[in-house]
Amino acid sequence: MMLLAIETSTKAVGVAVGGPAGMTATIRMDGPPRHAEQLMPLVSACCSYAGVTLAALDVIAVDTGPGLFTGLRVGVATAKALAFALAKDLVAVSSLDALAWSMRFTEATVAAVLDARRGQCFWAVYRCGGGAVQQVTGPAVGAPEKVRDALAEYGCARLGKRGVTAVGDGALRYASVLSEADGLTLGDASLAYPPPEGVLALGASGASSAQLVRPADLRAMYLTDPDADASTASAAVASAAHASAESVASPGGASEGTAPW
Amino acid sequence: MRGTTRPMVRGTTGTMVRPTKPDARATGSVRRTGRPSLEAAGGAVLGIETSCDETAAAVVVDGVDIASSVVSSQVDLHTLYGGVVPEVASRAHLDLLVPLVTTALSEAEVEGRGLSGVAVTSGPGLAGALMVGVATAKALAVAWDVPFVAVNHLEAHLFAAGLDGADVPLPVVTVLASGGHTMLVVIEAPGRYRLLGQTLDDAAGEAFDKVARFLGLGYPGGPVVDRMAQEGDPRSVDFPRPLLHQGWDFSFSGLKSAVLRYTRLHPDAPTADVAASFQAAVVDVLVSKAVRAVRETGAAGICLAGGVAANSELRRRTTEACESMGVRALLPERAMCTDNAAMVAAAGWWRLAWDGPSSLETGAEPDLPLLTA
Ligand SMILES: [Zn+2]
Repeated sequence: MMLLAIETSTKAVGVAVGGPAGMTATIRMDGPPRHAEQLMPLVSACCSYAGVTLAALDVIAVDTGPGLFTGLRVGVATAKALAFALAKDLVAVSSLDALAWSMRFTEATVAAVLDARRGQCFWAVYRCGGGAVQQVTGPAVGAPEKVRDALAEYGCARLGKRGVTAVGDGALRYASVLSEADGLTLGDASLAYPPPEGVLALGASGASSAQLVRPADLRAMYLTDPDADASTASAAVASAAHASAESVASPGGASEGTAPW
Repeated sequence: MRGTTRPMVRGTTGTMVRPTKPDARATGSVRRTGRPSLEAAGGAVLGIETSCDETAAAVVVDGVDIASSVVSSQVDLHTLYGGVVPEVASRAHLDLLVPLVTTALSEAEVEGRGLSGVAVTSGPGLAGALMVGVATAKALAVAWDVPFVAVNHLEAHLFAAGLDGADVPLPVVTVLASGGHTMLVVIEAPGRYRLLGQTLDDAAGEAFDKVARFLGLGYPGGPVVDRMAQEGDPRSVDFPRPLLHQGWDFSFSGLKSAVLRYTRLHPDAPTADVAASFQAAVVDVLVSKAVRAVRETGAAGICLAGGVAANSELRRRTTEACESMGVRALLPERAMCTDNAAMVAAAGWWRLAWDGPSSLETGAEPDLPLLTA
């Protein structure tokens, strides 16, 4: 079984090619986010480095979130279109699962925390060890203080001195808040983003346990309503009305720095 | 755009023949030589449109013949908010697009690998919405191993009039008016445009939406104002006609404010009369500038494009004006005026012929202008 893995739920853009036995090639760009421009060329390049044609793929694994909406949709749209055009199946992988997967050989409780912007985090807690990760709570979206309180409970009340390790770009961004929880260890920048290899590995096990999805049925996981913030929604309406289809000053663009869309 | 030398994408031997460049001189009308068969044509382009709140896919053969065109409007979703919410639009595009592409291909009875290209609107429009279409189109093109081509949404609107056998005389003055823009464009030859003027503030369709909101008519404003205006007296209120005789640019913000002021001062004025008078003012401005453009450029007709082109009073007055000048009125079907993917596929076929495929590093271009220097 040969898989293509697509990872675009954060600022990074990543692709991996390989099978259940391991990865053959991977490319990740952590630079300024240019998902729409970069993803398809990276897919072609990664396949060619791996010596695999698109037609030879069996399954396409894709990170379906939670994550930053615009990039996430580029990955999901690309995966859906590839799977449709090549008549292949898809398998959905959670960004937080893929992030925690990096810690699969640590005997630890791991908080996967991604930056959701606007003062929010996407997060979930995992029990890791023996090469596997098991989600124990989440996925959820919330303020870093809420994550801290939940971690404090895991770190102190349940785990004594073994504590909790927090990884992800959200953990780094809100390090000072999260560190208020006793017994918390912070992962470094190498653990900031879900690795494409993690999406590949989790995708391979999902595919072997028949968690396959048809392209039309694949959904992104947003965790928030599109109009979650009424004032944002009406401001967006206003600027969209001004711009509508053609002149738009990218309402997404205006808030790109702060909101997940 | 027909009515001039049509570029040939395929010669009889199946080799690529370089088509006429966009600046080629118009050479009068060219007779159509029957509908090409889909199997033989190889000129079938899949078009994808996701720039605003319509998700659309279509297959167009040889840049003119619509083999299929499907549009899924999100109006119902956005009506809840009284306008287009970009995040709502982007989510809907992602869920709707692959099923629409499936339908467009099966209605056209064409296989993805049999296409001669995949065209997509890359701008202008909502950044997040555009990206769904662009990412999808690139992946389809690579997977099927067919050319990918990025299309300017505004240029695509200019191709709507030439779809399905319509004969477009050139040069033609086009009034391109929608919720996002208002432009007066002279199409001098296929692919060669002169932008005479555009709106300095609100787009015409945006004015319709806002006035509909003041009048409590709901969203979207175009159709409701149009309907309401049919029962009103267009002469009952003398609203301003901004920039009627000055230059080529448009301005609708002052008109919109005048309607708001009037309705506040005259809360009992019949809504139908206000709607009809407002609509008459917008139509007056659009039609009189188009008429002046025909006179000054010697154009052979006036063409309507964009969502506002569906307005019945604009269509009536354009027809009337063209009759009195002895030029052609080109009023594409309403479905081809509003956002659709057939116009994108048509524009894509021509752009492929003229410029070849686009880079696979193409992204969304939210502020793309009609004419790039
Ligand atoms: Zn449009």
